[in-house]
Amino acid sequence: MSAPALSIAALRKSFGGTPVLTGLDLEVANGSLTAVLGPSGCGKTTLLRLIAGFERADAGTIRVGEQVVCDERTYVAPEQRGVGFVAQEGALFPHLDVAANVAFGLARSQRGSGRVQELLELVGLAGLAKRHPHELSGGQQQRVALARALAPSPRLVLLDEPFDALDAGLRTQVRAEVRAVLRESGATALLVTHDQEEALSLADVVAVMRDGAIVQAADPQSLYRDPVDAELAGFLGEAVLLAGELHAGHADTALGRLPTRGANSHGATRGSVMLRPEQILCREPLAGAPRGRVLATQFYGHDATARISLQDPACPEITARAAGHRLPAVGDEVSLVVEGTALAYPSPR
Amino acid sequence: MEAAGVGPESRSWSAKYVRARLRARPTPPVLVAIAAAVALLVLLPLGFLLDQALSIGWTQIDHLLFRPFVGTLLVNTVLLVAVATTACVVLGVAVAWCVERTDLPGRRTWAVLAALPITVPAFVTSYSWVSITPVVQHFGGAAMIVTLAYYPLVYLPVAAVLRGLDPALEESARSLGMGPWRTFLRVTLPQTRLALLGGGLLVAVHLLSEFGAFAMLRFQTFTTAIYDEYRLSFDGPAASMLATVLVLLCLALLIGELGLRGRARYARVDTGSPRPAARARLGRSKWVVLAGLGALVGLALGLPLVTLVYWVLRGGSTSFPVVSLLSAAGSSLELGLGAALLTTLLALPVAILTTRHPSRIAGALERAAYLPYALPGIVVALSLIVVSVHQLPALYGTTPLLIVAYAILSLPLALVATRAALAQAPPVHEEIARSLGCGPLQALVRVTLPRILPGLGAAAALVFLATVTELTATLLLAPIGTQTLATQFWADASTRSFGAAAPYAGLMVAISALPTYLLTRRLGAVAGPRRAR
Repeated sequence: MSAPALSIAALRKSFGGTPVLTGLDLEVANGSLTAVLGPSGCGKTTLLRLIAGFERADAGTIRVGEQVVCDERTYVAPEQRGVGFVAQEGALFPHLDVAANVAFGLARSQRGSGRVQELLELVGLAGLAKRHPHELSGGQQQRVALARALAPSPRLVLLDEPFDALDAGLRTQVRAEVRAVLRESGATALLVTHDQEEALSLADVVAVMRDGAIVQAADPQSLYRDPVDAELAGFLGEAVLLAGELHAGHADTALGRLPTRGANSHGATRGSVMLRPEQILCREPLAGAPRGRVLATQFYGHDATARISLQDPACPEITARAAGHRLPAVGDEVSLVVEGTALAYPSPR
Repeated sequence: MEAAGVGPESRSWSAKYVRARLRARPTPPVLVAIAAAVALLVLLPLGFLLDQALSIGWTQIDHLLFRPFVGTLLVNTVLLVAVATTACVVLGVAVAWCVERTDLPGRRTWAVLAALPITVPAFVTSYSWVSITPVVQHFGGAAMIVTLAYYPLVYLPVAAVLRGLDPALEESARSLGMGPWRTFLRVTLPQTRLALLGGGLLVAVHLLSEFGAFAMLRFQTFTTAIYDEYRLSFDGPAASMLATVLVLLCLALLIGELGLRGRARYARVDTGSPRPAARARLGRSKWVVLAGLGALVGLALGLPLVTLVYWVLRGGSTSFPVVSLLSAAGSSLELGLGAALLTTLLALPVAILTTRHPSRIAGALERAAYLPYALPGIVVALSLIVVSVHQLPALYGTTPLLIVAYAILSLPLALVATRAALAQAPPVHEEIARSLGCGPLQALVRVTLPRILPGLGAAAALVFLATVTELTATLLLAPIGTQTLATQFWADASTRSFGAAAPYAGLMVAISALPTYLLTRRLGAVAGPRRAR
């Protein structure tokens, strides 16, 4: 396998005494789309700016391809890194038209070579070459910004919350378009976002960032299924955590005996298990199944969630997800059936 | 907004965070070196001046400094600055309030007319008064004339603040039971405090620097005395000594303003309030206000212009001096354009350093570049004479030296305009350009310059304006045989040839009208209250 497009080791950066990156490691495979997911203020933008070379790291190494662009002795200027950058709000040059924006990073000889047209076609804006940035919609601006970044065929493209400035309706569509463009161009891309749905639906690999370091990096399905800790589970989506006794392959909880994965412990230990609300189904009351009463419901249209208090007083309320048309009513008594396996988290000793 | 947990990804970065982030960007050493050279250009001549003043030994200093003459100058200068600055502040606030916050008929016209006296140099205003009557040649006359010439320096910033004021503030005060007068004193006026202080400081600094108006009015201040000493002894310690005292007065002013300003900062004037404020109804008193404004504009603008026209039409002892008028206009334009170009070029690196790479060093260099804001033209001119005579005799009495003097004097003007333009051009564009393969210089030329070109134009126009109407430094430094409109006017006016002087002043005002017009159009939001109901 060839060298990864980007590899980062033990990267550190602080601002005025406040640590922002605290020893971050990350690899981005060639041709992949990787998303760095983290809450506001976790240092995602700083990470991108260090990779692009807009700022210097305090310590650590950044490699783009085989080239070290930043370590204790090296600092390669942004223009020599071959790393494209798409800023939060596009940041198109307002004094240039669309074609000139896209051509900006091309050598003089290449500007007339049809590369600009090729890229505009790629992002689906071939007819707008002569428009100025203020005459474009937010989504079009983002696509031009992407074309501009891709034009010089960078080794890596960085996208800084590229869909954040768009309104919700447009966001899904632009996301899909950007993903298609990146696929077609074969570019390696690293995107940062605070939107877990965006990261999970868009990226090949999602790296979750917390307190200035990566907690876990995996493909979206494994990440959602097997987050390394309960906090991460809750950050990636709604999680139901049940205290219980863990055994090899199963756990005894308020929802009965559940099959488990992970944490192959020898002998019983205290701990907790994690279920996703969509694993918990509400049924007509059945004999033998754990029961609960519906406290409140939240309707989203395509689906809905129900908050349910279990009859077991030691257990907290849990959340179950149901299809919109099968939502139980508040006050109903239901039986709860669990699909699939639960993820076990043994308590730390 | 400085909320807890605001982080790098948040749209509302705290100011502290942004500064820290900008500081993290690698600073090109070349930029620091250039900015340091600019700061040195400002500081070095001053150092030589102080050195000359102090080199004569303490007995001589004692002899030169502690004499009744210097006492008279001090009293004259300080008293005049105090009285005229106070008058400018009162007048400026009153006019601003009437124009911006009342239902005065013809407000837009008054807003422009009230600002226009700023285009007539104070020495032309005093010339026009003296050409009518010698009665004004005393303290009271001098105070009145400089007040008429300089009150727009308070009026303009205060009016801008009043226009942008959130009406909710006044409405809340009224709903809490305050009458209109108490609301003005306790809510409105405090909001304008910074604009008022800034404007007042500007007036006081101008008064300390003013030479032409006081010389014309035969009113002795430090500037006129320095000029006389210079004429008597050329490169002597007496002039340097008086100049040093003047510099100390200016420093005292700056420190005083800093103290009064306290912890408050000059707030950025936002895009405006969400809705125009309700205006006070003048009722019958509108006739009084109209009469007052009419008298003010008549005296401050009408009288100088009418007098100029009168003297041009009546002519001097000789026929209309077409040739010398054209040649003086030519030198004025040439010097003005040269100064505009040089000053903008000097301001740009300093502004880039302070907006893009803030640091302690950058801050110190910027403050040095702002120093001439409080330096009288006569001090700068004198210090350049000292430097050139003793260190660079080849430069003495040359056009380049004069242009350097203009550049030092108007550097703060250019810096303010350039900084504002750079602050509005987001650094992200430069970063994108870098990531697309541009070096720092290329990114500046291809991305930043096109964006800040209007701002640079404004900077150049401001410098040009200041240069064309500059008298003091030009009198001291102009090469032999070079006459500008200002110095030719001065040569005639100071020998009471009012008719001969008028065409030069008229042309000077006309030439400076164009950049003024362009500037007010650019700063349209400030000069013309279009949002008024």
